Amino acid sequence: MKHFKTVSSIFIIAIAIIFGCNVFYLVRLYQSIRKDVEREVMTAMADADIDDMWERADRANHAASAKRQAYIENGDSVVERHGTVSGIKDEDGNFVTTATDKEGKTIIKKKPLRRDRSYSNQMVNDMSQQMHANMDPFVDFNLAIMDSILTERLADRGIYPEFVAVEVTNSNGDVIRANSHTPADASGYDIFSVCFNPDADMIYRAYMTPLTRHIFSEMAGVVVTVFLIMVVFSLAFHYLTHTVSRLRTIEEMKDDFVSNMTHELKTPIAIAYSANDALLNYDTTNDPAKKETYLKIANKQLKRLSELVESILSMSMERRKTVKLKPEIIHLQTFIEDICAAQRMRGDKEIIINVAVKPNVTIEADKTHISNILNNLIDNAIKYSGERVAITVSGDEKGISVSDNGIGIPAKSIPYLFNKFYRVPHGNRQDIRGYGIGLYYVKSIIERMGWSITVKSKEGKGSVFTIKFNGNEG
Amino acid sequence: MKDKVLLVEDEADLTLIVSDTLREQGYEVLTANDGVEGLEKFKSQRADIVVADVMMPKMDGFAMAKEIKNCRQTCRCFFLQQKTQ
Repeated sequence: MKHFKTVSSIFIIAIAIIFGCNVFYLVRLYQSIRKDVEREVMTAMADADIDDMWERADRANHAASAKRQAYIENGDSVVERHGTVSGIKDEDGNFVTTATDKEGKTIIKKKPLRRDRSYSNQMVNDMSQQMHANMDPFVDFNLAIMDSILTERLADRGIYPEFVAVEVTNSNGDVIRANSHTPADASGYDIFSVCFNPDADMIYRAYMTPLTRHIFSEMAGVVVTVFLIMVVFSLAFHYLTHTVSRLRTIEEMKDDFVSNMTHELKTPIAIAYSANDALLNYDTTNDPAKKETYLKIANKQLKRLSELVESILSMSMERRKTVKLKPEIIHLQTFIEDICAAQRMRGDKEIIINVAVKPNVTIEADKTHISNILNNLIDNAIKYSGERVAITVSGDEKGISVSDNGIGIPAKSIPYLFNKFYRVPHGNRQDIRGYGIGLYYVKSIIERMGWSITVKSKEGKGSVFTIKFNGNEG
Repeated sequence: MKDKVLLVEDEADLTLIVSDTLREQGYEVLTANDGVEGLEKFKSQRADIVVADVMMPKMDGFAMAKEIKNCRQTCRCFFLQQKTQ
């Protein structure tokens, strides 16, 4: 048993470690996917920014065209100026951008290209910043359009937040262009910031519903599979250990039963044999009283042996379901009083049995078996009580109960009390004789009759066995 | 003079038969019904030999013999055993 417990403990620890590792690597996976998604969001914002600038440029061109047409119709002369941006890489590895705004002003910027980052990203970012420097003073932002462009760019990447709102701030977090949809309470939203115009210290700040759901949907397959594997594995392990444990318990109980039964069978045989041997080997002719005593002892022990064999046989017959019940109408009060009267006649202890049975109640049951059941319960009550036994047998149309003032049953033994071969363990001490089959027999027959039996007990106070007719447990 | 035998056995019939047999062999026989009573009688009446059952109420035969050996190492103990173990 110790070996089994050690092996089980090792397996449980191993399962716990594997489960812990799974959780650890799932967290790592979440973090990795989150980083990827955040990168996608930032890229989507950068793309949305460029799209928004084209849109703003279109808006500005349309407005300028309308104005030019108005001038022409008015007869005024029109001179067109356009802003331009261009970029090249010089021989020193710098990216040089040249921007000319509508006023004709030229701005040249030179920035070294970092070799540890994407050249194309750096070039696009620099040109984009130059375009912003040209456009932002002349063409205003339309944040509603920016919201919808960003939503589309996110959808292109398979990201579908329920809410997106973009505003323009500076690096201190002060709002430069407010968006009417921006939430008042930013907690509960993911916030992303992209600096699109560092010269003017202007930053897009995007609010969106948390990406956790999106990330979990990406991980769903892995999480569900891992979870199912762990659940199935744990259930299988639990079932196996429970089954093995139960089988070992049954085996131990069987061993105990065989051991007890051997003692119980051998004892009357040994006593009868001793009495017989004494009669044969020792001169008892001069002592007829002794001869009679020894013969009575042999007779009593053989009867005891016979009763024991009968109870073992009745248990095995029940198992083969060959016991046929013969129900008949029984007047409960009279029946119980007769049984109790016979039990009071026992001379081994002072026995007080109170009968509290409702008059005029009849039941339909096999008289022999119900008599065996009640005698078994009363025998137990007497056996497991001290020198002064006080038992109460009560009954009505709902059931019968037998209560005593005996030693009681330990709480941990109660779930096993009606199991075959079970006896409350006391090692080699044999305070009370028994075989562990009486209550098993009682429960088997009661259930065959469609009834139920329960027990309540407190150590040192006594026990109450309650039989409910028609299987109603109470 | 033959030894004083302490017979500790919870089966009354077996106690009767064994004690009669021992007395017929000339032994002085003391009897007890369980391990606790047996130990008390051994201490108070100083038996020379102990014949005991193993499975008894209150204190089993082995536990009683251990206590007896602690009192007197030279005491001879015999067990009546019928349980399969």
